[in-house]
Amino acid sequence: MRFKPVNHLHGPCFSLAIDNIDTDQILPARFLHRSRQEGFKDLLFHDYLQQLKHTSESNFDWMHEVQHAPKILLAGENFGCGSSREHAVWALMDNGFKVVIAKSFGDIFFGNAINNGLLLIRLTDAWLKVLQAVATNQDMQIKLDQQQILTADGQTHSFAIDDFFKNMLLNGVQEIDMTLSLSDKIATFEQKQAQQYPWLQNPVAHS
Amino acid sequence: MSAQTLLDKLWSSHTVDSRSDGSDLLYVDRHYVHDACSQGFDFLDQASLFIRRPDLTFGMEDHYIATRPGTLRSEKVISLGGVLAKHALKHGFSSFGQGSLHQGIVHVVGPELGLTLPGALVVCGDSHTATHGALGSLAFGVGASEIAHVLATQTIWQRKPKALRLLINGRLAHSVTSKDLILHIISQIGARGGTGYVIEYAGEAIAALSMEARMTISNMTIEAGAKAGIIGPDATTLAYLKERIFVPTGQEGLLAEQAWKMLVSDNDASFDYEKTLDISDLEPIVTWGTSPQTGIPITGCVPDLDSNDESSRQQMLAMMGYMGLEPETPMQQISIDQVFIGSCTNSRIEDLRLAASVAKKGHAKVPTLVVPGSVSVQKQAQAEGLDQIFKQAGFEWATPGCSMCVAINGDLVAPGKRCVSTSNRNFMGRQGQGSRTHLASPLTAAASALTGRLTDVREVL
Repeated sequence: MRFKPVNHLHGPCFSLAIDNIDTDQILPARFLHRSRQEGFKDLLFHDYLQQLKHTSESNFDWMHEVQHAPKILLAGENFGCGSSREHAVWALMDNGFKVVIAKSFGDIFFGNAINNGLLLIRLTDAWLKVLQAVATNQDMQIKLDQQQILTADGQTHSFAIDDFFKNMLLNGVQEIDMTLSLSDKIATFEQKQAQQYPWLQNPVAHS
Repeated sequence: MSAQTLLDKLWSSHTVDSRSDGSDLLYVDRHYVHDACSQGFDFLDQASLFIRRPDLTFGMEDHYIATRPGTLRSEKVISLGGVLAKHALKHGFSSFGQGSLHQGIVHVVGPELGLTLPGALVVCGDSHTATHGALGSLAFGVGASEIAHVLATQTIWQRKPKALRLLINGRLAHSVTSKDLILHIISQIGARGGTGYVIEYAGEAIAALSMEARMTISNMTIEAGAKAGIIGPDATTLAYLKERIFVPTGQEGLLAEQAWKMLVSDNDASFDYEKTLDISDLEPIVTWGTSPQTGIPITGCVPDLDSNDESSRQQMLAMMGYMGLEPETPMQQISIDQVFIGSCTNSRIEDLRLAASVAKKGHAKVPTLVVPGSVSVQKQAQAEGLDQIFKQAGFEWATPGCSMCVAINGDLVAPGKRCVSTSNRNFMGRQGQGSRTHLASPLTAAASALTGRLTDVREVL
């Protein structure tokens, strides 16, 4: 299984500078039954944006604007916490988002993103500067190979990313491709475990 | 060998391979799949792959299953009922669906059948897989691509999290439960306080808890952002496992018990972070906002806004706006529209006994739905007459499933309605679009049902 490789991206960055945006907000549970083929176009932040319109003066119509350039999202702490639904990642990607920059991410969401080629960037110190920059001009460039964010006002910020994840994104390869080649090692583990902890390898019902 | 934490022991005993970036390939002993995992199977089919170990894969129908005759489900949702059974037939794994004696919520049924064992590595496409850690297993939720990976390879790549030990001292006071304790913990460390960690719960307060009460704690560990929540097996764990269907017996059972007794953190093991809490003075906790970290004592008030910085103030205001609450409102003055008692957090027999002990004292003032976690819990409750107590109190007694916790089987809280719920998430729209959720213990939920407002159970019992 493969996805489109990620490296240099250039597009508008939208900010949703709120903490703890959970995956129920990114994609409500009532859409979970959709298949990956059906997709999640126009369902991203479906109920959440309506809610924000009630409680804030900001205009979030940008979320559904058709963009030909890849979109970038800037969020706060703990983005993607909560439910394990991979649909949250698919909803972002199906609506044009290729990158999410946040102060921190939910753990399961992070793994799901990597498996689909959605680049997640953790920013701490430079987060506020980037937020201020995109408030005046949303234009942004991301260079994954150089691990850099370039804002329209000329700022350059470097970001850290795990080498393995970086290579997966650059090559568009999922982990499963690699793991299937390790099947002998897995078989050896199973034999060892069957001797040491047989109850784990052979669950038997005693009724 | 240097001193090891329980996490070290669980991790090293499951490591199949390691790669240069520090990630390890971990072997999965139990893979639970439920009726909302279909995309994982789609990926498997599209890649023309098969399940490596159908004998270690177990299906449970819970998310979409109807829990009462009046439940209105769409055609689409009804059609989902057969999907898991179809995959089970094709790939040859056991699945407990509608009509099975073992049907129920995956995180209730796994431990109940003895499928979840100490020292096992358990994954499931559901974040509340953390529940199984109460038995001393390493258990965590995964997404659809990872489900496909586990189905095809029986393994998963993970980077080892850091180890955090929470030492919980003191004893829970009367009418204060493990639900109150975990809501308190999350309010103290925050919704991302555990991010990057596996939390090991220890100390006299944890040792004193029953196995089911411990599951409520590990279940909600994910709401603090942690990968998993684990508790070292002790006499309580071993007693719980006795006589369960899939627990090894005879000579193998004795060997297993010996192995399980070793699954504790060594005395001199060092943790990346340690925190101690004393909970002797803990009161019943309820949440006021739309994050599980907003737990406060039932005797308290919705927070004031003065003591916060501008950014927190804005976020609190948004939560209050959604919840329809004013700052400094006493929690016990908040009127409610309905009550839900159930979910993988609080639907086990002990939870229902607690709720019934309160239900005996009066009659529901608002619609109250009680959903047992499994067919086994349902039967046990009926054998004890708990269903009759609920019905006499005007509570609705339903059949097992996730029901109004994730609200995708037709059991919904209507827009703007306020529900006291024993579930695990109070996110905006979690129980239905526009729903307002206050998380609470089964005792608090039942007490609130009797009064029609958020209620301190100690006034009722």
